[in-house]
Amino acid sequence: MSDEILPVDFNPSRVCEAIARIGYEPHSAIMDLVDNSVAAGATDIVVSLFLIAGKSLKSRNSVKKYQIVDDGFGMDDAGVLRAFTFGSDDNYPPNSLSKYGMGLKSAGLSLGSRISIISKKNEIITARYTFDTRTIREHGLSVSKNTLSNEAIAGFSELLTGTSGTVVEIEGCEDINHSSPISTVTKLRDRLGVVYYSFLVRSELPLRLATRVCPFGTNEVPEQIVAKDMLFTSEASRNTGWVPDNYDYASPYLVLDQTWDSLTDMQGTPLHPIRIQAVAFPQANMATERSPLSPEDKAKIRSYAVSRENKGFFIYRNGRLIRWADDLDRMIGKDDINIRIRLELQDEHDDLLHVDVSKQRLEVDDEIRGELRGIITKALDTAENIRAACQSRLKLGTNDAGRGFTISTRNVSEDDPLEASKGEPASETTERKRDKAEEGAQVIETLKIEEAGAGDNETESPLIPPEEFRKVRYSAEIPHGQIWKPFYDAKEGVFVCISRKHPFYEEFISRFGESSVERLVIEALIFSVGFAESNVFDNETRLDRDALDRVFRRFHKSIDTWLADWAFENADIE
Amino acid sequence: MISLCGTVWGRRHGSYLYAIVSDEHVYFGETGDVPPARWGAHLGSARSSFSEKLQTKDDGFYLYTSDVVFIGLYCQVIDGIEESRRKVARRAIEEELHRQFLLNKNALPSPKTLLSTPPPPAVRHYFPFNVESVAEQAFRLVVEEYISWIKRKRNVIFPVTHNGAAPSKEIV
Repeated sequence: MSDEILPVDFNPSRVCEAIARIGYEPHSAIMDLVDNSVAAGATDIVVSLFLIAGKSLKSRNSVKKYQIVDDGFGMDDAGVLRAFTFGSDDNYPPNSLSKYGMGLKSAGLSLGSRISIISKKNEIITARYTFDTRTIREHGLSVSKNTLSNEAIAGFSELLTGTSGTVVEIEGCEDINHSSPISTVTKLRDRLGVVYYSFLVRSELPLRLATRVCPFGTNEVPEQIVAKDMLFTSEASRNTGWVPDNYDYASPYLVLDQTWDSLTDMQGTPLHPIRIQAVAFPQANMATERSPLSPEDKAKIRSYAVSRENKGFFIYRNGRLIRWADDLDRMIGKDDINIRIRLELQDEHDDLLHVDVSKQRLEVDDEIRGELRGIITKALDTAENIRAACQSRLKLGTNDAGRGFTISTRNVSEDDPLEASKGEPASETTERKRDKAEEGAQVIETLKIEEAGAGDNETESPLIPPEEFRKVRYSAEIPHGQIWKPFYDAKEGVFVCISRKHPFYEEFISRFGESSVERLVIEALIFSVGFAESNVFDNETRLDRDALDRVFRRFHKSIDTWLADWAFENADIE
Repeated sequence: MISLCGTVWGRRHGSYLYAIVSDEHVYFGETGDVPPARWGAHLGSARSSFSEKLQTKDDGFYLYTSDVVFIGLYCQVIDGIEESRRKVARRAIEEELHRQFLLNKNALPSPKTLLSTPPPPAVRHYFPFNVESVAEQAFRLVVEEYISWIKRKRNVIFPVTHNGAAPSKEIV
């Protein structure tokens, strides 16, 4: 018993309607047509929108004709007919922007009801071939051929100035309900430079891409598209290894630059590695009026266009952007506004990542998403820390560390409660305080040098005015094994230096603005312990200094170790 | 008849990373003690993260029936920094080592499930070395050692005969 093979019918008109509705917006449909030109080796492409006479870009359904002119390989008559075939038999070379042979029809029919091609190959211009949905409705799947008049040949020769090239025209646009084309034109101008970035900047035969809008059928001069890297990679690559201490609040940071060599096809054969880069930008509000940054830095930040519309994954396939600011199913959170991640796929990843026929969408399964999340975690964390740093900078102005706390202690006495009623201090206490005052004076001089150095890269310098005394100061020079160290000033009393290099400072204290309540509370707690230590050391004269030194070293070592471990374990607390 | 199953050296209170690799799993960790001390804890306690996760994956049966490779890495670069920062440095490299695994799974001879959980990234810390480079080197060493072990195992258990053909029966 053999199986019988039976033909089935299809309705070409309905198929045309269906493929026109696979989710194109006008600008993405135009880009799909541009893809065909790029795949045909074009280096010069002009996209034109001809408006209906008397209508403007602000009017609905105001496009009379879309036209894409390229200087690619061109086609002869048979080639043009093949271009209209559903599911082209052509074997596209690896990494081509074309794949299924559907783009011309589906993108074209999403823009209008008639697609025409006039092509030139080896100096010979073809007839005009038109794929018209009305004709198809009446006659089935077909194209009409119109031999060009001499006048028409002259006109197309002006467009196709090289030995080869192609003109694609979409008409019948009034049959498709579109909003006003201002959005299409804006998106084309904003995005073409990003979408075709690698083609526009390639060293060999760089692509020239231009757009124009022609009202009343005028012949406007095309406006060249400028290549734009949304990750500002060359600038960002100068900044790696972000740490809060030397951040300038204005520069983008390259926070991830790796190849992802973990994917395999269905047979388990490794696929080509995917390049993955991530850049974290300063917050957009660092360019606002209340920002302390210079006008130059503010202008630089504005140029990055940090916004919700521009955050997330920029996914390139064969060098062409297919997803703009994708969150890949919420892998990028709503607050992750200042991160952009570039994934560079190739067509061999299509099956694994379920790249759709329009090459505009993809689906990442849970396993791959889990891996990708692990890969970008640090980049996301860095971006988050950059946002927090920017917020602190805006909130706090400058160089206020310890100032608020110092003011808050003005009316708080620093007596040892057990000594307050004893009158004159013991001579040993006086001796110890005198020695500590000498040490304190030296420390203040050292701190001034350290703080002046730290101020070199700031907008204000030095970090703390030399004449201003602060009860809490921050230093990188605190001895190992201590997170803070109390000192004594002969006039101002106890002051405490907190280590900038301790994990508790790096992970937690530094998160809070210099004058924030959180910082003030932490400073108050640390100061109180430092103050207590100072009092015990000075007044507990029954113990000699060496014994007290040993006791406090051990005391600090315990605090240091516990707080360091706690900080490591809880670094991801938000 | 008898073959070496590894040598681990090191002093206690040094900085180490380690990997535990089987045909199907991989686990990365860090320790401030010689790795065998940590491995002992992993194997000796059902509540250690390694045993616990393996238990979750396949009821712990795997550990008793398959070869498991323990690879220790001494991090001299970490022992060069002050003591209070060594743990965060080890954890920073451990976190990056996990990422290197996710980025380079094809470097291993067969697909592996990651059993360990990476620590939080140490974003706000400066280290006098490049964490990424150190982790890349660490991952490379793990892969090289694991592949080298596979080759050694093949040669010990299934040695190639002089004419290049595999022997007809297993030699133990």
